[in-house]
Amino acid sequence: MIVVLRQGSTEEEIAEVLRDLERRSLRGRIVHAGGKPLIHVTSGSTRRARRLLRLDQVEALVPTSGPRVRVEGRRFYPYYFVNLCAGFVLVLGLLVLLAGQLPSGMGVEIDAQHPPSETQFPWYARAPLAFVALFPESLAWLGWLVLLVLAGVVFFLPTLDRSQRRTLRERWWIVAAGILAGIGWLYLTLSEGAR
Amino acid sequence: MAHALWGLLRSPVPPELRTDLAFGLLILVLFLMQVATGILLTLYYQPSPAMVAESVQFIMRDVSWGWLVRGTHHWSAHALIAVCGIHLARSFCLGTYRRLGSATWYASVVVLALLVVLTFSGQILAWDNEAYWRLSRVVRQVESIPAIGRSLARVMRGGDEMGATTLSRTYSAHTMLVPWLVWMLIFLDTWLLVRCLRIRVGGTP
Repeated sequence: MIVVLRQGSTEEEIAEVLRDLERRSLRGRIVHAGGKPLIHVTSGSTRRARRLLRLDQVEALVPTSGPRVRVEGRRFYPYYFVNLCAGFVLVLGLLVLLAGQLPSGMGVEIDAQHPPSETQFPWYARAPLAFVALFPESLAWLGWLVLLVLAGVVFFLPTLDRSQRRTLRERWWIVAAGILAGIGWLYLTLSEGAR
Repeated sequence: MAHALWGLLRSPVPPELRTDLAFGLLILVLFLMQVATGILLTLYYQPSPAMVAESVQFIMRDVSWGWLVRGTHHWSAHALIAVCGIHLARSFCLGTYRRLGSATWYASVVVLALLVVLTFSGQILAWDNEAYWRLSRVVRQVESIPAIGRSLARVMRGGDEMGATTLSRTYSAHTMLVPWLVWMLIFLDTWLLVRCLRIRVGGTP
C-alpha cells in the first residue's frame, strides 16, 4: 500500500500521517521520489490503512500486492502443530486416567465446633503458609508482607533486570537465586505437608 | 484467535520460540478444559450448605460420567498451576521475559496468582470439614493484617460467621469473577506470543 500525500505537504503534515499510521498499528517509511511525498506502508492490514484517506493531506492510496504475495506465498508449516496436538492429546489422556484412578473424594460433614487436629492444605499453598507460620501468630501479617514484597520483585523482574547478558553462564546469579528459591519452596512444602 | 492460529500454521516456528509456544498453548488448552468441565459441573452443583454434599454425591454417583468430569476438572486445575509454574520458572532462569517482551511476563505472573485463587476457591466449594477449616485458617490469617484485615476477612466470610454467604461468595468468585480475569490474561498472553512469532518470521503483526 502506497499513501500518496498532496503536493507541497509540509514535514509536520507528513509526520502527522506517520503518527496516524502508528496509532493504527501500521508501519510505513517515507519514499523520497520527487514530486508528491509518498509513504510505503510495509506492514498492517489494508482495511486499517484505508482510513488514512480521512486525513486532509492524504490524496490517494495505491494498493500494492507485495505483502499479500508474501503472506499467501508462504509455505504451510503444520508439522510442529501436529506434534504439539499429539502432545496435548497425551496430556488430556493422562488427566482422564488420573481422574479415573485417583478420583477426587467427598469429605466428611462440617463440624464447626471441633477443629481437626491438623488441616492439610493443597501442595501449591503449603510453602507460603509454612513461610508465614515461621512468624509468631500475632505477626503473621508480617510474613504475608514479606511474601508480597518477594512476589513484587518477581513481578517487576523485567524492569529490575536490565543486564544485556543472555546465556545461562552469564546469568549464573539469577539461576542460582532461582534454584535456591526452588529448594526453599520444596523444603517449606514438605515441612508443611509433614506437619 | 482463529485468524492468529491460521497465521501460525503458515509460519515456520523458530526453534527458540517452540517451547514458549508449547507452554502457552498447553495452558490455553488446559484452561479451556477447565471451563468446559466447570460449565458441566455447574449444571448439577448447588451452592447452598444444605445441598452441597447431596449435589456432589449426585454428580459422582448418578450423573453419567459425572465422576470423570469432576475428576478431570480437579486434576486439570492442578496441572494448570504446575504447567504455569514451570513455564514461569523457565522464563525466570533463561531470561525469556526480555525476548518476548515484559507484558507476557506480567500477564503470566498474574495468571499464576489467579489460578491459585481459582483452584483454592474450587476446593472450598466441596464445603466439607476439611474445606471449612482450611478457609477458616486462611481467614484467620487475613484477619491478622493490620488496619484492613478485619474488613477483608468480613468480606470473605460475608459476615461475622462462616456460612451460606461465605459459600455463595466463594462460588461467585470461582465461577464468574476470577475465570473471566484469567481468560482475558491468557488471551492477552497468547496473542502477544503469537504476535512476537509473526514479527519474528517476517509476517504482518
